[in-house]
Parts: sequence; structure tokens; C-alpha cells
Amino acid sequence: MDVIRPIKILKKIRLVLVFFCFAVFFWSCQSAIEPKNIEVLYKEGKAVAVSFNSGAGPEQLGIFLEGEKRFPVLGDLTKSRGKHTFTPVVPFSKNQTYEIRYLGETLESFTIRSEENELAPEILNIYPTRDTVPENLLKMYLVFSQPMQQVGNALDFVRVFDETKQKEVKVFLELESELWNAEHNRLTLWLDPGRIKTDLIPNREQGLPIKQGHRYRLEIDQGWRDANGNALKESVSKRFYVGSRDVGKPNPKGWEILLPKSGSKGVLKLNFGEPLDAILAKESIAVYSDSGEPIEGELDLISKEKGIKIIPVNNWKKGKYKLLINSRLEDLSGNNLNRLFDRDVDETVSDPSPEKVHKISFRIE
Amino acid sequence: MRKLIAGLALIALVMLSISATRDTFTSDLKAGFTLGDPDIASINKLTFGPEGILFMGDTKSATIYALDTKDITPKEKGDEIRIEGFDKKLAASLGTSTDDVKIYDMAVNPISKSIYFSVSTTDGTPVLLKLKGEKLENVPLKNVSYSKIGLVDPVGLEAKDRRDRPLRVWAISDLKYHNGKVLVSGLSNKEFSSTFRSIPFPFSESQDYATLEVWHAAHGQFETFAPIKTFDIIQIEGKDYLMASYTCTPLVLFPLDELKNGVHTKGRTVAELGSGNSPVDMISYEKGGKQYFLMSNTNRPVMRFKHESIAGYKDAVTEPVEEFAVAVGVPYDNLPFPYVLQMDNLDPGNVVYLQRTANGDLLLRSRTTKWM
Repeated sequence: MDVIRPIKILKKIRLVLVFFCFAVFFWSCQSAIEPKNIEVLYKEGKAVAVSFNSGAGPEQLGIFLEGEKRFPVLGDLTKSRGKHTFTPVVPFSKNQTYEIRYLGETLESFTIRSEENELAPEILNIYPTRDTVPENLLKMYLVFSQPMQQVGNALDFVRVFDETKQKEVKVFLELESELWNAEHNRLTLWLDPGRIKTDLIPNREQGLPIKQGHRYRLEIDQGWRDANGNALKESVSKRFYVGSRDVGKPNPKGWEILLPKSGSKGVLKLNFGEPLDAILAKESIAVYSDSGEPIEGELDLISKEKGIKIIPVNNWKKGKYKLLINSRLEDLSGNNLNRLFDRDVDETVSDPSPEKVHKISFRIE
Repeated sequence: MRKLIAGLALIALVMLSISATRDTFTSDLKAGFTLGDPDIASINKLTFGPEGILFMGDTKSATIYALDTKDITPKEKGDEIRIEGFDKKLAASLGTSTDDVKIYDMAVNPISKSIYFSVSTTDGTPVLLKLKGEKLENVPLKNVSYSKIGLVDPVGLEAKDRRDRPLRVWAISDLKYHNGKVLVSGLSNKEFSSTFRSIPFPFSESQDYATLEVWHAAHGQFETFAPIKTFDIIQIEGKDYLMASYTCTPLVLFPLDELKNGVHTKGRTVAELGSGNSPVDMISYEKGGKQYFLMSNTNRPVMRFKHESIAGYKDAVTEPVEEFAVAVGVPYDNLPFPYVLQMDNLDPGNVVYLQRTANGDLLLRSRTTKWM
């Protein structure tokens, strides 16, 4: 018995040693795998990648949204000199926590900080800016101070109330493809054209989107976010009154021109006599010399889109000029220089070859 | 023995040259493709052409891209699909929440039956994804084989005018490949008009754009100028027609051969499809030797038209509509699938669609046309 006992003790010690070795081995492996020096890499304010040191192979690691079990974040994971760099397909989201997992087990996590001093977006203009609009108003433009979110649910943030009837009304056409400019800071909203076009079924069923004699309030929700995820600085509302129908084409022949003097950088003013589409007006009109050279200058809207002013870069010279106007220029009701939005074919003889550009000649003395 | 070795060497040489030929084989359609970064700004519309070529419409840079997906392993039938919470899975795969992603379009590769999605995120990063089982794969957009064409738009007021005027943004509203041409419809973010483009593929310098006008419904007294939202091609008595659906609901036929550069073409309205609605997608399928068209909508269920009803409708919609709220013209059925956001043919017997269900869930599922 006395001989056997030391053998048992020896066995126990061996067992403990083996277990200890395994534990040390496992701990050292785990410690080698454990991500260290986690660093989020930013580019132009966006969290474009994360890097960390780990002994694990890239194929054993995955980046997951916090709490997400099945779908890893898509991206490229590369390893160079013991350092892993994960570049997601789209930049990491702000204030979001991500987990680094080894064979499905979460080892570490990191959170994307939000940028400080980011300016909240604002609404700079709502066109038409005037407070009376025709009952067949076709479009409204919302102009923002910076690019807005590009995930397409603008109408969730826009509401219209008929203050005369004291109820919310649906006036804008829901479009699968929203109409933004390339910078994504200007949105075009169409009042349902099917309801504006005379005798189309929507027009017969529901009538015009906005009714003559009624007062409306357009409300823009503060929750609308910009491309960096920041909400609008404040909610915005615009009241407007609906006047009579606009049934005429804009006619450049009736426009008033206020001419500057030669030898000066005086302002040339053009008065349309009615408000026109703000965006098209700025892009459809240009001044040329008699020989066809464009006159460089700044063009701005005046009198709540009822006119424009042109400030030249160089002094006006004495002589003949021409003002060219693209026929695509529209008034607030979608009537352009060549055709009405709502045209009765019985009353109109179609012009087979309408002018693409209308011309007004003038002389500066 | 020597003969045997020589014979084996010869076979190996032939095999090697065959595999080399296969690797370097480039079809005529892909002959003009280049390898590199196409610099895609947005992917608003997708459609497949032949040989696994994916056409992508980029509204931001007013460009159509043709991408060689190299996804050309044929498959006869698409997988049966039913994925609930599809948007949540997609958002997780992009490391973000559902509020920060939007699925712009979906297209099925007719060869491999793989489903592709174009997605945008809050900051506008364009992403192309491919479904594999229940998971999504990223389809790289850099270092790829592609060709591209910018959408021509006459901008200057005078020929001499070369100043930088703002680009006319032209939201690509639909895109289809038909008989060697990429057909494109678009919505302007400024003027309210309709232009339809036909671009020969492989891309060259040439493209036709026609303005399309509609003699419209009801009393036949008014003309409609409106942009096309979605379209398909229909063959009637051996002639191809553009079947266009407008933002303000008319369904209109234009003979495809009359859509030529700068020509102002008048279409024939064959149906008016009700109010407060904008069409989304149009596809066709065959069942029992007959062709059907399906149209999904923003605010209506999926509509089904029979080819024979459209082909047999010889009039324009001109009669007064006496009955209130009744659509006129070619008859159609409303299928019990509301809020279908995306739709495409999965294979000859199935369609696949993305639907917002009553409880707000986004469901991706396939369905046999047998019951449609």
C-alpha cells in the first residue's frame, strides 16, 4: 500500500501538468487569436475599414453587426504582417457596434464614432417661393443645404394639409425613382399629373390635387436625414393659397427687358410677367453677342421667379445682342414655350416643327 | 513506348490549346469591353442581355454600363425562393440597418437564373449583390470587364455654346435589351416630357432618341405629354411595338420601327389604368401557348393583360367613360399581389418578386405562373 500511494500521487501530478500545459497552450492560442490594436480607418469622414492584429487566418474571422448571428458584413479581409484589414462593401455606419468573430465566437467589438461639428442640413428654398400658386401647379422643388440621404423615401417626410378643409391631403405622385439632381440636394416633386390632365380618369375621379380658393400648408419633417445620417436642423412649413388655372404658354415676345448702359457692368433685367419654373429659368436663358459669342455672367432669379437678372463679367459693349431661350422653359403649370401641358387637340393645330430656341434681339447703347 | 509518349504529348497539347482558346474567347458582343474601373455613380436600373451581360442604368452620371458578369453556367430552372425579412438580411450583409438601404432594382440572369439586386445606401454608395442560397454576395464593380455609353443630350443653346451648363439629370425609369438594342426610358427632374432612347449594342457613338406623344383617353380630345415609367416590347401581327406605361396611367403602343432620331411619334392609347398610381415593372411570360403581361404598380395590385386582348384591341381609347372609376380599353385582371416592389421572370415557368407584406415585412419569393 505504501508503495502504491506515491505512484497515484505521481499520476495525479502528471494529469495536472498535462491539463496545465493544455490550458497554457489554449490560453496562448486564444491570446494570439484575440484581436488587438483595433483601429477604425476614416476617409473623408467615412469609416471605410477596420484593422487589428490577430494570429487567426482571414477565413476564420468574420465581422458582424452587433447581435447578428447569420449574415456577416460583406467586404474584403486581408492579412499582411500579422495585421488584418477589413474593408466593408459600404462604409461602416455611425454609432453602430460591430463584432469581430472567430469561428462564430465573438472575440471583440468596436463602435463607429460620430463626427463632431457636423452641420445639420437645412432647407434653403421651396419653389415656387411665392404664396399664391395656380390650381394646375405641376411641380415643387425642395432645395437643401447639403446632399440628402439616398435611400429614397422622401414622401415619408412631406405632408400637405388643406387648411380650408382642415384635413391632410395627398397631392404628390409617389414615384419609384425619385427625382433628385446629381448632387442630391434638390428634389423635384410632381403633383399627380394624372389628376391635372383634363379628362384622364384620375382627373375625373378625384379632381385636381389642389383646389382653387383653398389654403394649404406644406410640412417638411425634421427627421429627414442627410447623406451623413444627420437630421434636418428644424421642421419647415410653407403656407400657400391656390389661385386660378394657368392656361397660357409663356410668351417671350411679351417679356420686358430693362437694359443697362454700354461701358458698364450694369444689370440686365428680364421680366416674364408671370412666375416661371425656377430651375429651368436659370438654365434655359442666355445672352449672346450679335456674332454668336456667349456673354459670360451671373444669372439670378428676381421677383419670386417672375424675372431674372444678368450681371456680366465684362463691361457691356455698344451694339446688338440676342437673348436665346430654350423652348423647354416651363411655367408653374408645365406649359412650355411651344405647347400647353393640357392641350385640347380640337382647338390646337399642332406645329410640326416647333422652334427649339426662341430669340429676342435687343441693342445696348 | 516513344509513340505512346508522343501521342500523349500531342493530346496534352491539343487539350492545352483548347483550354487556352476557351479562356481567351471573347464574343463579338464583348469585343469592345475593357478591363478596369467603370466609375459607376449609381445603379438605378438593371436588365440582362445575352451572354451574361448585365446592363446597368446610372442616373447620376447619365450612363448605361454593360458588365460582363461571367455568370454563364446554364441552369434550366431557378431555385424555389421564399425569404422573409429580406431587407433585414440585406442590411445586415451591408453592416447597417434597413433605414439605410434601398433596393433600386432586381434582375434575373436568364442563363444562370441568379438574382441580382442593385442597392443604394444613405450616402449613395452603389452596390450590386447576387443571391446565393439565402445569402447575398457582393458583385465587384472595380477591375471588371465592361463597356459604357453616355446618354446624349443636346444642351447648349447654340452650336458655339461650349460653356459648362448644368447636366440635365435624366432619371432612368426603365431599361430593356431587345434585338441588339438597349432601350431606355427616363424621367427628367426638370421639364415634363417624354424621350425614349434606342442604343445599338455593342455600343458605338450612335443612339436614337424619339419624343413620344400620346393621344389620350376619355373623350380623345387631349394630348398627353408625360414621361414613360415602365415598358415592354409586344409583337402584334409580326411587328414589334413599344408598350409603354406612363406616370399618369395610360398604356400606349408605339411601332418600334417608327422611333427614330428626333422624330416626334404619336402613340395609340389602349388602356387607362386608374388613379394615384405609378407603374413599376412590366414583364411577360407564356402559359399554354399564350402570352401574358404583368405590370406591378406603386399603389395597385399586379395587373395581368392577355396578349390577345392587346393585339385584338384595334381602337384607340376614345369613347367617353360613363361609368365612374372604371378603367377603359384593354381588359385586365388584378392579381392578388399588392405592393410588389420588384418583379422579374425567374425561368420560363416562374416569376420572382419582392413584396411588402401587410405586416411590413419584405418578402422575396418565387411563384409558378401556373397560378397566375
